[in-house]
Amino acid sequence: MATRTGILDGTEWSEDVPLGLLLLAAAIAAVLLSPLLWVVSSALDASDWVGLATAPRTLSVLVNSGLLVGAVTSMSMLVGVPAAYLTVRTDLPARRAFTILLALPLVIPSYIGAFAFLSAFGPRGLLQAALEPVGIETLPSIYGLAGTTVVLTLYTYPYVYITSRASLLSMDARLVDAARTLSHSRWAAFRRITWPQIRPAVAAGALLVALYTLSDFGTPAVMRFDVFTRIIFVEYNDILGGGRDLASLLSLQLIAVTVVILAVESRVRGSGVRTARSAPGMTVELGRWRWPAVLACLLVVSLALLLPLAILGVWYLNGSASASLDFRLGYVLNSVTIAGVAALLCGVLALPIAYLSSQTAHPAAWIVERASYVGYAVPGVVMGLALVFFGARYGGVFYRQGLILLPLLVFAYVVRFLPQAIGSSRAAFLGVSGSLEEAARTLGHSPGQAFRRVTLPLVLPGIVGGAALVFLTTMKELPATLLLRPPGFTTLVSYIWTVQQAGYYAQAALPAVLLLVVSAGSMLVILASEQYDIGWGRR
Amino acid sequence: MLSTSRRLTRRQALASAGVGLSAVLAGCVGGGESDGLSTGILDPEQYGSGFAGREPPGGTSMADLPALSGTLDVYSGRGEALVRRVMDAIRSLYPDLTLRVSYGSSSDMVNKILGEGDNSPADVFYSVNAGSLGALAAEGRARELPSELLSVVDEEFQDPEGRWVGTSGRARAIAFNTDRLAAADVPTDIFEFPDRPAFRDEMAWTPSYGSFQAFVTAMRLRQGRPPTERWLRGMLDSGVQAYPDEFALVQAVADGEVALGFANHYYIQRVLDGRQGAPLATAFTQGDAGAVFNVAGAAVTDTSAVPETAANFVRHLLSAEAQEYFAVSTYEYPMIGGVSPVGELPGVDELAPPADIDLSRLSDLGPTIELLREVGAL
Amino acid sequence: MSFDEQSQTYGDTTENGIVDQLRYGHPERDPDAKTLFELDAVSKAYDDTTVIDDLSLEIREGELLTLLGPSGCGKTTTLRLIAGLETPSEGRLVQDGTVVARSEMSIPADQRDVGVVFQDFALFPHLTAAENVGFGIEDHENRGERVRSLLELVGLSGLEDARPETLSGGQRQRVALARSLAPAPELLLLDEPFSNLDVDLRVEMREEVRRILKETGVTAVSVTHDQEEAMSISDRVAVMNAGQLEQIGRPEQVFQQPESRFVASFLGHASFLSGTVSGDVVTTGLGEVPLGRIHGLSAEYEGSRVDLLIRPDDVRGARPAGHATNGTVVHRRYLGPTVLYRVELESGDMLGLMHNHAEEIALDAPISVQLTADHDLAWFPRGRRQMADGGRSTSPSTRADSENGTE
Repeated sequence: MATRTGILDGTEWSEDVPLGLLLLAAAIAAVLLSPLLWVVSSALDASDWVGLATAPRTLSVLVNSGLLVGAVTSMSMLVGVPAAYLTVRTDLPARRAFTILLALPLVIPSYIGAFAFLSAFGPRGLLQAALEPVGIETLPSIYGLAGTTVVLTLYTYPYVYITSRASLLSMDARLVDAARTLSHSRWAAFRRITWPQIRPAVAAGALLVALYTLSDFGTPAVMRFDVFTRIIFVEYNDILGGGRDLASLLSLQLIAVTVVILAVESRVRGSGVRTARSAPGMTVELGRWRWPAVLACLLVVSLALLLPLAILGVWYLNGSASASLDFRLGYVLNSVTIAGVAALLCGVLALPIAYLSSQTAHPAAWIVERASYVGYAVPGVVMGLALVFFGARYGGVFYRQGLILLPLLVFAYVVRFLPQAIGSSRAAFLGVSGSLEEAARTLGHSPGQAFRRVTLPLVLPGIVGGAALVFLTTMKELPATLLLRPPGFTTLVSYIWTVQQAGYYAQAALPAVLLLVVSAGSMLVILASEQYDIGWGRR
Repeated sequence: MLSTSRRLTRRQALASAGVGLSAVLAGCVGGGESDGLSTGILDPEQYGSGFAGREPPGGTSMADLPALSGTLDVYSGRGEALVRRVMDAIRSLYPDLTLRVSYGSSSDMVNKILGEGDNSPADVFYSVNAGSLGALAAEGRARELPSELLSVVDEEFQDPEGRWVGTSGRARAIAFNTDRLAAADVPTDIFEFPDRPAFRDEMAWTPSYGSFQAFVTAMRLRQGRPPTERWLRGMLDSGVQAYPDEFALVQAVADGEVALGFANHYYIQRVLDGRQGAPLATAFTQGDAGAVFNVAGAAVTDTSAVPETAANFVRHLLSAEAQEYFAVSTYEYPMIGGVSPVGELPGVDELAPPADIDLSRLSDLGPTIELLREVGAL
Repeated sequence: MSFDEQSQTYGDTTENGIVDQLRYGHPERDPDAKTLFELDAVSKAYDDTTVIDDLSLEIREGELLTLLGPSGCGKTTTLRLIAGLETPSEGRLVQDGTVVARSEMSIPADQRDVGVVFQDFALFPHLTAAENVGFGIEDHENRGERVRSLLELVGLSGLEDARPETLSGGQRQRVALARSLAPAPELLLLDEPFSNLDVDLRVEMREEVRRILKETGVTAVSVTHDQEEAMSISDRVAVMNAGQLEQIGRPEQVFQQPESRFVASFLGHASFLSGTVSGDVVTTGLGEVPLGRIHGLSAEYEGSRVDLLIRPDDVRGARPAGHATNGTVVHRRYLGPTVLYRVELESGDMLGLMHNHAEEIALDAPISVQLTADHDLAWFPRGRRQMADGGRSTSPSTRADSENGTE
């Protein structure tokens, strides 16, 4: 049994690894990575993969993807961190409302968000129509890197926002007050005191942003920017032209980029040691920055939330409907059920990996934790096809009968979204002082009992928050769902997609709103879980 | 599901089910009227007054086809909104049949079948374009269809080796505003369009739309890249306007925003159907890429456990009722002789699509998109 | 190695007059005292760093033993080894005659009959005070009663349902104490128990804790760097430095008869008065000190150069009358009720001298220092001179000696 000096010492990690835990976590990670074997083998099967890999087009896609990831990650930090700061530390008006509203854009699927943006600001969009009487014929093009970055930022910054908030809330903010009395300006106090404390959390959120950007298809497709996902999609569609080879190759490249990002974030994140105690500091008064801050928040909320809702309204009013595709509430039930199962599984499966990662910095544990993140960057279509391959190959008659399609779909969700649960659970474990477990040990509790009676209750809010995040992203996932859902199994998003394909936008509007409402519910759970200060109990 | 008594003879049962089938296809929920004919499937209220009084469809009725039973898995690249009625009609006709339909994009379905390999449950692949069908066949996953089935459809709308067959078609067409242009003013040669001064700033296209790109691909395949590039540049110089989708484009033509635009024929019918008496009409070019005719179709997989049932199912898609449905509800071109397209469209044999195009190659959009980008159309 | 009856130590002197630092904590002259826990040549190393080196220690039943030493001396690690939260690299730990830990093997904490009060109290935030206290009690039936009586013992009756976050520092510590006493452990360990309390609370709490411990009769080992705390409440003090045990004994013993300069310096201000054994006195800069007043210095050491341990209250300073000055004030530190002067003697020694605040002696003023200690003085072989608070003498003789001497 490994021993560990208390986190409060801020000192050494144990070099011992609890072997049973490591094996369990490694087994989970291995299972998560298994679909990627298909990607690797199909890529290497490709004829002339060297040539394909070094073709100018491939390289330009790589560059584009890199640029996009960099841009979106930076921008989402520029939006998410100030937003977190404003809602945690300052006297921002309507703070509670903004707290929730600023987190909500995460519930909007990218294809709806991008579409909304295009409808509003595109060459034939609402803005252009509104400005035309004034004589403005063409707007600056929103396509390409700029537009894609803006849209993706709007819908992914909440990742950074949420983790930054959690970190700010659990910080000892009195340190900042102390710095201020030492004649630090607010900015200097932030830079020297707050930033180093929240940096790991910001990095964790930024990691999710980066990986999501890599995997997202909807936005670059609509905004016409050639990144991995878009070209993979095009190539998968170009079956006759041998595009599948290139698609596999690009998927492999995408995974390689993911590994690099994971390594970089790990360095930035550090070992995740936190201060002993959280305490609120003085509220920062915004003074003359008050209304600019409010306006900035309103701008973000409007662009990210109101705009898609408005577009949905336009769909509803102006779109057409067909009589043949009725919406059934059972579809909601389907969505919620599989999302719930996925969330539950992720909450449970994340535990060994998160706990292991929080207890030791041993390289084996590090590899296991990082490996479990790779699935998050894999585009849904790739994941779906990988599981189709494995399911058919090893599923025998069960696959033919369609019996394992739903389990495969849930598995796809778990592979893709488990990292969200891991990040949240790991942070929760790190926040539990090591001396608490030791205290339980000295009071006659075995490691398992101590975990159950002390650690687990304290990390439960974090685990629930992570599971809620999985629920939310599963609800809006599209490409893997389309590929793997059994015949006759309709979910909210597959219904929306179906009617959209046929052009019946009016029929898509209400289900889309329903999707947002249900997802918003899970967002509230996420926000509620952060209120639990695990150092000293409920606020 | 209807559970017919086994004491009825098969024929009687099917006949009675046939009526029910018609009712279902007519979309009569709560008893709309058929026009009295046993194979009449039109409910004028559903499809607009313009379609009242259509001739009853020719071809073989579903009721006359061999019965379907057992379990059949269909992978459909065609949207559920479009084809569910047909599927439901078949289900209600054959209570012994368990019909499972998976929906997705055509290329997703092909990739799925390819990925599943030998253990694929798919029996039928129903696709929205010939490219995917050709791809499936090229990968060796499509089984040759019975000659009896293939004989129902013209050669140009099926795989040369009989591995897939078209079930309905769409023609590239010119939508034009009748207030601004007469039918004779519209050229029948696609290459003339950039040169007409009267068309300056009056034309519309949808460069991001798949069918448009297929048309440009056809031009590229027939003429080569340089003439295609010249045509594109010529169109741009002529002030052609880009629209996001062809439905919007055709509406713009009807509104008079532009005088003419390039669209799939059925969009024009849709707009006409929604706006009675709109100044909108359809024109076709002759024998060139501008008239390219693409088909939706079906194939039977090589791994199907029930190839005969699968082929039979495909045959049902070519039945009188189904073809009439495609014609009337999705405004597509039917493939069988006995059913005519809606509106005042020329019959499929009166059209002049380019003769030397392999339809399955129309999905090779990559170079086309590059070209469109290069000239600045995309 | 020879055993010195009087100081009850094993000592060895080499030619240069250096005392071997190897010490054995020796039982008090009470043959009935039972050894509850024993560390036998225990070492603990992390990677290349040795934290505890060949430590041997006995804990007697019923006593309150304090491990005292600076940060990093290994006292906390020792505590954790006793608790079963660490495994020794070498050596054995024996509780009640049973070996509970040996090299790379250790009975885990939950199976030892040892309780721990943590420095940060480690109260479970999601449980009430009563639930915290009852956490380690296995007997469900009587748990409530026992919790109640324990809370009463620590003076927290009525706070059963309070959550830790609502309690003050002192209250939290009481809960922590009650919680660790609840399973009635044989041995209780306290890790810097008062360091997280406000200063004014500390004195009160340590008296209180001692009372509670004595009332329950539990054997306790406390760890601290606060020598005042160690001296005031412990039965025995074990001074540790750099992973080794310097000295163990009663507080007054350790204070008055430190066995090494480190111990001397660590417990209160220490200055060293150099002298030479000559006949039956030691001649020093403060005059002649009879050998009888120096603990353990016998005539055998004739001619040796020694340093006598002088505490600031062992000397008195006065304005010189006439020419009887023997030193100069080089530094003064105002402490409130008293003033600590640093005096450089003519002989070159630097002494710390406590003086009342009323009479002020100016800096650089001459002063007459007298040795007024009423107890035996401790002595050390001559070595580098260094005052406990860092002042260094600058006399040439010191420099010469430091070339020879090592510590």
